[in-house]
Amino acid sequence: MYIVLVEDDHLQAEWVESCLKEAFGDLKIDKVTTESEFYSWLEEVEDERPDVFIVDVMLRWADPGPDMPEPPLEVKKNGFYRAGRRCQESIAGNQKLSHIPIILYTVLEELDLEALDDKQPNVFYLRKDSEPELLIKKIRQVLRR
Amino acid sequence: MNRETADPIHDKAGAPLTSFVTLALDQKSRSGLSEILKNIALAVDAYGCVLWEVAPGSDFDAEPPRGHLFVLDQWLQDGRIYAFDDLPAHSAAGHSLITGMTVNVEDVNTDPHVSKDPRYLRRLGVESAVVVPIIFPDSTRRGVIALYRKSASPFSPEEIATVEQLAPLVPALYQTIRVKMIFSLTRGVDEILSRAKLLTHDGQLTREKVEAQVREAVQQICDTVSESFKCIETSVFLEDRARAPGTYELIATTWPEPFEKTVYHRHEKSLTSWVLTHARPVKIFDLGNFERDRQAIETEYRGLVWTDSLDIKSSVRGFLDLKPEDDLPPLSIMAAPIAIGGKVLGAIRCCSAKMGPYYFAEADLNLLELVAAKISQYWSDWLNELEALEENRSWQLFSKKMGELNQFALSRLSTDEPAESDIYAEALRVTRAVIRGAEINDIRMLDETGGALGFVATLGHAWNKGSLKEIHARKGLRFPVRTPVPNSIGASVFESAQVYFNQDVANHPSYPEESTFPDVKRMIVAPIWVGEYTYGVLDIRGVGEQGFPRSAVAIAELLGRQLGLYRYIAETIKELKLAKGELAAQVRERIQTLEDLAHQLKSPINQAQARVQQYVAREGLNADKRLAAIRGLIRKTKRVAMSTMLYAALGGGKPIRPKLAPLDQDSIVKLLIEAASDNELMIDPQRKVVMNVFREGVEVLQSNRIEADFDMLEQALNNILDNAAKYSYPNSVVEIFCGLTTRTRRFHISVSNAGLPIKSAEIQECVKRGWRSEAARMVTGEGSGIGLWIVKNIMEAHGGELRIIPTAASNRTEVKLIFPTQALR
Repeated sequence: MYIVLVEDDHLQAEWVESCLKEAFGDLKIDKVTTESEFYSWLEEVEDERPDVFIVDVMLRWADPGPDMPEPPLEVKKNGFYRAGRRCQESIAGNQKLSHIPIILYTVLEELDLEALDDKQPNVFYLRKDSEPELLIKKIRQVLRR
Repeated sequence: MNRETADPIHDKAGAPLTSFVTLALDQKSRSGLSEILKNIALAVDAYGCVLWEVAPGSDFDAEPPRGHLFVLDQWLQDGRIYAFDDLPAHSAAGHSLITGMTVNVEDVNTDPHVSKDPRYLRRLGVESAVVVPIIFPDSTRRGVIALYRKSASPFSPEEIATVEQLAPLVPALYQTIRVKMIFSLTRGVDEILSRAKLLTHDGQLTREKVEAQVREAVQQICDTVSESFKCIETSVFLEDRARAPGTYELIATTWPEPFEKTVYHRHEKSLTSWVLTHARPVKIFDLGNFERDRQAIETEYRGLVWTDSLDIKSSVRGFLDLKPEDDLPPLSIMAAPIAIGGKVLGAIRCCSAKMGPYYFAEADLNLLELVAAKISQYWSDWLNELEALEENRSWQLFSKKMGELNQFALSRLSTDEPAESDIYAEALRVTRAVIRGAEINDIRMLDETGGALGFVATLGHAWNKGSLKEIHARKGLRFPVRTPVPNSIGASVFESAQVYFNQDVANHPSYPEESTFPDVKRMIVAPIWVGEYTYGVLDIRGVGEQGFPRSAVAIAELLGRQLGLYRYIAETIKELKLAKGELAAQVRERIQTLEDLAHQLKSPINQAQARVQQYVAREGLNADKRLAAIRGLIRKTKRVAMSTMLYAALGGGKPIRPKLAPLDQDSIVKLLIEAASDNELMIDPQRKVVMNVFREGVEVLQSNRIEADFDMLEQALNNILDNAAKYSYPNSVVEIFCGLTTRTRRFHISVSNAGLPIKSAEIQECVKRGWRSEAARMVTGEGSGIGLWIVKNIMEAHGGELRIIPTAASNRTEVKLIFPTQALR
């Protein structure tokens, strides 16, 4: 199985990775920690397609550093609050990846998010929880579809 | 001659004088004098009877006497009008006048009193005459009555006695006729005006019909005056000050042919214009001798000019049906101003008597002035009524148009982007509709510099004359305001907020000759203002003959106020929208902050729980690190919870009340180390950011007393370290140290890191709620800019200070928590 995990909290990412590896055994996982890094990943994606994207919603643009990538206008304007949704839209706009299920994995309530419309049947919501089973169950569920 | 019909004096037995007087008193017009003279002539079977009067300027009492006599009136048996020669002092008439005695000329060819060149007598074919002196009632005028006979039979003593009996009565009878004429004329004029006023007030009539009635009334007055004075012409010229101020138009005349000149203005070179200009009456003895008498006329009426534009001599000759051999009667003229309250409304003019007396006397002019006064009152009333009527209509139209303008403005101001320019353009259309003669209009508003007025709307053909370049230049003009001295009319109105009105621009120095519109005749400039705010001016100009209505100034002022109100409303809407936007932004910021705080609370709790489970499941695997992580996550939860509490308290305006307790070295060292450890744990290890605590400075606590709320201190320190963890560059060290400040010797805990810079200009801003630099917003997935704001409030509640030292050349930023410090002895 091949999972792309977009999560800027390294503790969270580390925990999710360990849980998934335990649950799915032979697992390849790409950890992406910022929005800009995700766009770079998208540009460089190879023939091997991930089975599922797990995407946090509140996500920083880049790690601090003297040579940070310049954010686009939309990012400047709207900030980190819905960065994961922008990543999700980028996946939807990518012909190679648009069919791949996306799990928006966030501490935000589903009601707080802008509605997930019918045009994106492969986008799912899951509230972050300390129980890894819920995530694992969700992954299995979306993969069966 | 048939004496039965020719001699009423002797035929009416017993009452010859009574009969004569009765006949004389039956006369109503000024020409009744001719009738009296006729009856005297018939009484003595004379060919003619002539009343000679001493000409003005003559002095028959001088030695030698000078001057002459002129024919005031005459009756000649054949009814012809001729022979208006003067008589010299040395004549039978002159002799009679000087001596006061009757002169009986039995033979004009031999009588020594007859002048050497009796041209007049010869032309009439007179053979004998009798002359009787008379004195006029006002005693300033003197004259004689002469009776002429063509036959060689001189007047008998009885006939002379009859003449001497009747002649002295003539001046008194003439005076009586004049008085009757005055009554008759004034009553006639009064009746005409009374009838006209009744018609004028008929509410069923249209304005045009009433105007026709007014003109008809003036025409009737002219007819009546002409009839009384027996003159060919009586004309009335009047000014319609509302429609054509300064223009005096012919309203009515009895002159039988069309006039070449029907309109007069003041200061023109004409007799009528002189009367209009000087508001004085004029009486010219004989226009036929104008050149001869020019000097005397100039003395009496300085600057008066008369040119014969009508060829008046030929015209009068035609009107009187004179034969070529007939003399032209004197062309006497008189004119009086029609004025009220010092304001000249027009003039009335009478010219050329159709029958004697041919000269207008001073009393005639006085009577004409009386008629002029009656016309002036009537005309003034009519104009007032007309203006009231127009004003009423104007206000009704204004009221209707203002309603429409308000609707229009409302529709434009209700849009997301209020289109004020549309409102201004519509306001100018309303201006043109309600103010008659408003031909060149514009609105100038204060421009974006606040130092000049610029055009925001224009209306009128004049604006769009010429090339595009010229139009652009015209409309692009700017008029400086708020200068020490206003240098344009618009600027003056803008500064004073007072309406400027000029009905006669051409003669007013304040209207610059180099103005954009040199043909302008009148203008109104009204301020556009409301309350204490003046926004611009409304400029209305007219170029035609028609003046602005009386209500124009008030309407312009009201339009200016209304436009001011629109501008005020537009500005208020703009400000409200701005405030609404700011309010929405504040609400959004608070929602995001709360969302973020929830996120910050949930994440560590989730992870702490997860780690506890992992710890339980895999006991012994890197246990210390896992426990430290759990402690850090729980502390973060505690910190976020406290931030939430402080955010709520400070946001609600409640002060922070720290529970102060002395700080000791051990607890401070422990705090610094655990805080450093907790925050370092949150940093992605791949970034390789290390937190180092320098504990040496803590020793100052031994000799200094510092009090603080420990929980709040922990909160403040962790907030600063949280920032350092988020914003430090990879492979850098965060340094945590404490000690006393150099100058004020206060205890400080400081954090120094190398990361995103804070500029000097941002120092004041970065402690405000919700502030985060653009770079900072890009490198975190949490936080809403309340951390430093809370720290600042905590430090201020301690009487201390949050000091941020901007990023130096070394690329390090330092943040200090400074506490009040009391040195221990």
